[in-house]
Amino acid sequence: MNTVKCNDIITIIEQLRIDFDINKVDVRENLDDQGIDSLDLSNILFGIEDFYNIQLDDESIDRGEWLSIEKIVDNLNRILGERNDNRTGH
Amino acid sequence: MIGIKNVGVYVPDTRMDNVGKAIIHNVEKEFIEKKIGISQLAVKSKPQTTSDLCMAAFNHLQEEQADLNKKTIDFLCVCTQNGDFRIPHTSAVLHSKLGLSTRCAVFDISLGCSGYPYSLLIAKNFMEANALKHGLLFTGDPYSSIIDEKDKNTDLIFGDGATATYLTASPLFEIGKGAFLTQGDSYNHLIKERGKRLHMNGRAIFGFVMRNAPGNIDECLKLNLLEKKDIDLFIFHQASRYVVDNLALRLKIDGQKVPFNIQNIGNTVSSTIPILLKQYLTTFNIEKILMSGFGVGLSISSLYIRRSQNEYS
Repeated sequence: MNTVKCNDIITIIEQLRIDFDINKVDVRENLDDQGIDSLDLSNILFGIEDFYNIQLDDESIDRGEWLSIEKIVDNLNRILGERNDNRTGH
Repeated sequence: MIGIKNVGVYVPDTRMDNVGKAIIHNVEKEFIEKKIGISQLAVKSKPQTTSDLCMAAFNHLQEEQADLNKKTIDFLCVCTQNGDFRIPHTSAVLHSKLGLSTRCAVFDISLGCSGYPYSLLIAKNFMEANALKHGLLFTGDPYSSIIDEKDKNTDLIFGDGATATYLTASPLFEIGKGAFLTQGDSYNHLIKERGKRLHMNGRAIFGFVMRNAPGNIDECLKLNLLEKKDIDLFIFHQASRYVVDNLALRLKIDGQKVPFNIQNIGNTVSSTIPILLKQYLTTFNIEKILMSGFGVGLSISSLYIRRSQNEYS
């Protein structure tokens, strides 16, 4: 299974046509601290759900676990890894 | 065939400055004006009830529709989830206020933002099945009475308003087929529990709409043997500018065909679609309309209406 990388998430954000200069994004910093508002953040998370065919846990979002690109990548790799393990019977 | 003859609209005169709430809710003014797209909210007076709002919408309808005779009304329906009382149904109260015949069929429909397309189809089929000739379909859901003013998820969104749709056998618009979708296991994302204020998980609703509305709209088009390019106007529930714009984007629809008109009103729940429809009733180059409502339930309903050819002749 291919692991998710920061550039994969950046590509998803680019496709959502959000009014934000993605080239200046700091992958470690929270997106809302970089000028992305709550609606765009919702749209990004929805775009991620759509692309990877997963449903994000509302509580983990409320806890701020999906706020930076690095956090998104880490969480996605964990979730997709677990899904892959389930499919292969590990 | 029963269809839409006219629509009366009531929006309270009082406006609340929505942009001015930016400081209270710790958001940018631009976020309210451009993303949410609502600069002002229409707010009813405290004593005004849902039936009062509906009466005002009826008065507007009657001003425009001189041949509307209350004595001939044999069907009355109110789509609301904020009725005057828990018991009885608001349509009964309205029946009394309007002084309609005792032979009139009267009931409420409990739906929110998906309510208008649902209610139109219910009304049409109920009236045709029972040979009823003159119907009134009301929408009115004054959320101002259930909003938590500290909750930016709802306080910046909802306004008050009501509509009255006149349904007859000589309509301006005929009613086609509808498509429906419900995700009941997500009902708690938009909920007003007893003794509490309205709660809305905006992210969950947004995801629900973006994930499901495009497919529901496509299904509705197929049921009516149409393609997106055939439609002159898409009337989407006016949830917020962001929702309407992103839905149009996902459907790859020309933005010119997807109007947004709640900048100075707010999201009036089941009334947003008929308020917008009213603007286009006499725009005669608009012949084919696809409307779609989504929200409470969580639910989606989409419906095709077409301008009656008989009206030209």
